[in-house]
This record gives sequence, C-alpha cells and structure tokens, in this order.
Amino acid sequence: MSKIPGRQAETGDKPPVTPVLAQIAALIASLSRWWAMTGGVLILILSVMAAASAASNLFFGRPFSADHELVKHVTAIAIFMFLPYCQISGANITLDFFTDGLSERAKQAMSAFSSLFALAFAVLLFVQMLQGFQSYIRFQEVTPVLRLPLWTAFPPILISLALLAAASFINLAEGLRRVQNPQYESGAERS
Amino acid sequence: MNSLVLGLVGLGLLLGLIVVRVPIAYTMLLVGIGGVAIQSGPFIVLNQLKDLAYAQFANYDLSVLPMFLLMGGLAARSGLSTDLFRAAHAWFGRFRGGVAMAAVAACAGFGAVCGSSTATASTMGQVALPELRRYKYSDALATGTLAAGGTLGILIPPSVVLIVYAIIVEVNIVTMFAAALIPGLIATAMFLVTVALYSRFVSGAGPKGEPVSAAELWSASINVIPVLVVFAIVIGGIYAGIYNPTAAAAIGVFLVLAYGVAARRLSLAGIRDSLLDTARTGGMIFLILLGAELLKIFMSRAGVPQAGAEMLQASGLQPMAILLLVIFAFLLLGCLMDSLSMIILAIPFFWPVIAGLDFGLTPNDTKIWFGIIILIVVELGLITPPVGLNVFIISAMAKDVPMRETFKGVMPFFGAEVVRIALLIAFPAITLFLPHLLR
Repeated sequence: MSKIPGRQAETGDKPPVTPVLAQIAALIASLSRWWAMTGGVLILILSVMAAASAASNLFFGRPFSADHELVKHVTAIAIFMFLPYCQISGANITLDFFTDGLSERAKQAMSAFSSLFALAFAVLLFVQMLQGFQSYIRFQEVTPVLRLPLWTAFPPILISLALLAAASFINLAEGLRRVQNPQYESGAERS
Repeated sequence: MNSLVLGLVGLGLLLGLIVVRVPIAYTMLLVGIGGVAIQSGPFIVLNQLKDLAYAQFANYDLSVLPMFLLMGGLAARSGLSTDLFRAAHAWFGRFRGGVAMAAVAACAGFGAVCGSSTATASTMGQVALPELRRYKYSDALATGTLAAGGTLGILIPPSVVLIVYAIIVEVNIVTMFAAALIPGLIATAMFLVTVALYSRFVSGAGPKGEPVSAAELWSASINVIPVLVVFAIVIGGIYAGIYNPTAAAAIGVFLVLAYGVAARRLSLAGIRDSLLDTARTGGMIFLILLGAELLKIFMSRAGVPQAGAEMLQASGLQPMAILLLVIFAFLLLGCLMDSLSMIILAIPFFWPVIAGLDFGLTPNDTKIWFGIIILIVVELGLITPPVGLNVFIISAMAKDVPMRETFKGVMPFFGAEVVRIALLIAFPAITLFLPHLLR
C-alpha cells in the first residue's frame, strides 16, 4: 500500500487537487495488484501440483487423474484475475511510435480515449458472462474426473471483470483529469 | 455492404485505432465483436461472449505460457544470471572481446531457462553491463552485445513467442522447440564470432581481460550446474517425450523455486515480483489471443486472408519471392511493434499465403520452417530502430550512452542474423533435422 495521498494536505502548503479520485484510484490499483498476485499464487500452486503429477507418472506410472482439468480450469480463472492489474499498470501493449511527437496533453487524451475501450469491453463481457454464469448454473456442466461444476469459474471471473471495469474507469477519470490539469498526480500510478 | 469491403473497413479501423494508442488487444476485441455483430446480427456474437473467453483461456496447451513466464521470472531473481556470467567469464574472459563473449554465452544459457527476450536482456544487462564497463569496453559494443544477446531468450527454447506461434498455426509445441534448438545454437555461435571480429577490427572496442586461475574456472563452472540441470530436465524431458510442455514448465517452476529458496537467493519480494510479472505479461498475451480469436471469426467470414492469399498466388510470383516479401513485411512491422502482438496479429493473415505455396516441403514441415524463420525476423524487431524493445531496456540501464550508440553496436549482430536467415531459407534441413529425428 502506498502513502495516503491525502496526507500531503496536512504537511504541504497547497491542498491536493482531488484527493478523493486519487484515493479511489490508489485503492483500485492496490486491489488489482493483490487480486493479480492471488492469481499468480494459483499458477504457482498449479505448477507444483502438475509437477507432482508428472513425477508420480514418471516413477509410479500414475499421474493425478484430475491434473489436466484442474490446470485448464484454474489457469482460466487466474488469467482473468490478471486483467485488472494489466489495465491499471499499463501492461497492455500499445503502438506509441506514430504519436511519440505529440504533446503530453494529446497523449493523455489518447490514453483516456483508450480506457474507454477497455471499459466498454469489461462491461460488455461482465453482462454477457453473468448470463453465462446463470445458464451454467441452470444447465450444469462438470469436469470429467472431479465432477467440478464449470460455473465455479464464473464468480472469480465476474469479480475480475468488475475490477477491470473499475480499473478502466479510474484510468479514464484520471486521464481526463490530466488533460485538464497536467499537474494532477495519479493515485493509480503512485500506488 | 459487400462482406470483403466490410472486412477491409474493419482492418482499416483496427490499424487506425492502434495508431492512436488504443491497446492492440482491445482494438482486436472490439473490432472483432463489432464486425461479427454486423455480419450476422448482434445476437450470435453476444451469445458467444457468454463463455467464449472462458473456453479460450481454459486450454491445456495455453496453460504452458503463464508457467514458463513464472519460471523465467523466478530464474531472473534467483541469481542464475550471475552464475552463468561468472562461468562464461572464466572461460572467455582471457580473449580479446572476451567479456562481451561471456555476456553472449550467458544470455544463451539464460535463454535456456527463460522464454522471453526482454527478461533475458534486462537480467543479463544488470549483471554484465557493470563488468563490460569495468573492462572499458566501447559503449557501442557493450550495449549492442547485451541488446542482441537478449534475443537469445526467445531464440533458444523455451520460447514464449514460439509457443504462441505453435498455437496459432496448430503445430506441435514440442516440434517447434526441437526445431528452434539448432538455429538457436547457430545464433549463439554467430554472435560470438561477431564479437570476436568486432573486437579485432575496431581497435580498443573489446580489450582482453586477465586469465583466471584454474580454481576459479573450476568453481565457476560447478556453479552453473543448477542451470544445466533445470534445462536438461525441462527441455530434455520435452524432447525425450517423457512429459508434455505444460508438465515440463510446471516442473521448471518447481525446480527454480526450490533452488532459489534452498540457496537463500529468492526473497519473498522476489517471488512477489515474479508473480506480478507473470500477471502483467500473461494477462497481456491472453487478452491479445482472445482478441485474435474474435478478429479471426470476423476476418475469415469476410474472406480477407483468403483474398490476400489468392491475390498473391495470382500475381505469378515465385514462392520464394513471396516468402521474401512476407519476411520483408514482418521486418517492417517489427520496426514498429513488439514481437508477440506482431505474431498474433499478422500470422493469421500471412500464414494462409505461405500455406498455399509449394516449397517442396510437407505442409507440417513448412509450418515448422516458416515459424523459425519468422521467429528470427520478429526477434530482429527487438533490436532495430525506431522501436527496439531490447535496445530501450539496455539504454535505460546505461543512461549515459546515447541510444544511437546502442543501435550502432547492434548492427553487426543484425548482419549476422540476416546471414542466418539466408542460411535457414537455403537449407531447411538445419531447422527440420531435430524435429525429424525426434519424430
């Protein structure tokens, strides 16, 4: 966690520009990071499980029968958990070359514009996958060995998409604020 | 609207949005969704979105990616790079240009446990740059060697770019890893020769170091055994067919983690940073892959790749001329884009063109051969101006060296790579030998 952005107000001469937005941004950024780290831990656990399964297969001729389905199911969940962090930390690749010469303000405007796309995607996918969740509950599908219902992937995925929407919204709001005021300090970046 | 025209408008929109810095993944996703919605009504695509993303991500073959990313991240923070460089330095240091040669060899060694070029460049840069400075290597040679050496990260298996290629054109990952090994070793040898020639002909660029004692040579060499063991178990196991790439990657994560913790080199902060790196790169790749899937549905219904392939085939050009054109197009793209998004974005358009040509190889061999050539071509994009990611990474470390110097230092290596591409095109057997042997 970073320092509370509002603290400047107590010590500094001039009050921070918009402590509320920056505070929310820092909170969302920190949530995204923890969420992504949890997804990373899932990958780590999966790796240890799959390694143990491969070793068991090698030495005793018996892999864990649920190895494949767990790897698939949990990797999908973990990847969704990565997405909000990718968004808020700017990991999604952009082509900067053609616009490198433009002013800082124009770049901020473009970055705000692009957050709109992430936001639209996150909201659309959230709404559709919520319906997917409902129909997976109604018509149960299960994994072959553990008979783990597939809908179990959807709650963490929906949380990830909600967080992705929040992260894109923060990027959009902070981007717009920076277009207006280049001095604005991003709470997401500081976090 | 004519469906082909719609496809071309979509393609134009895609490029336009990418140019104004909309992330490549989101551009592909929204253009794909929008295009399919126009082609066949919104209902179908909305229905697909209910579980398409889950179905795409829950793919056993793809799960190898986050695991290899994690393995590379952990390896970068376990001090393996330091061991590799120390050993390589003990062997090569005494020669003219020896410290730079050591950097190349250590990059190759690190590439054997890490599938990413940028991770290799930044990890080896941190270790080798101070040494190259200490021995007063010219700025161009020092930074150029590291930027070029970093590309060995994807040229030597495991390789994230190669995995993505294999998944897109539907060729066995094991086969691609086998195909990459000999060309990767050739690249290492050619880079070593490049350093030797550069140090010989540019006076003062790569001074000699002092020879080390037999004891140091021995102890430094012993220290790289963990790296060799990890490579042998992970990649060796894949080649020998003992386990599949996902299981191998999982074993790799476990081994590097266990070694790092047991040797007290991997801190909790190191593990945390590896997890976050995996999240950033993994999330980025999977999102582009999802975008590529939606874009593919849109574009293939519109018939854009087919039209391109037919046009080129009707042009009456020789297959080799078309191949060279495609390589040239990738080189141009590589000047602007990063290697992964380029593979994911462009291969679906260019592969149908190549697949329709006769090079005297079986379709599967063509996939393998073309994949390795393209791997090298996109990797060149990492070291060519104006957008050379590896050069940026090394420049950020050597802040006092103008980026122009680094690009200058990279040029001899670029030349070596062009020679290597020519070799691989002229002799497909170099690439296909190992895959055929393992079949």
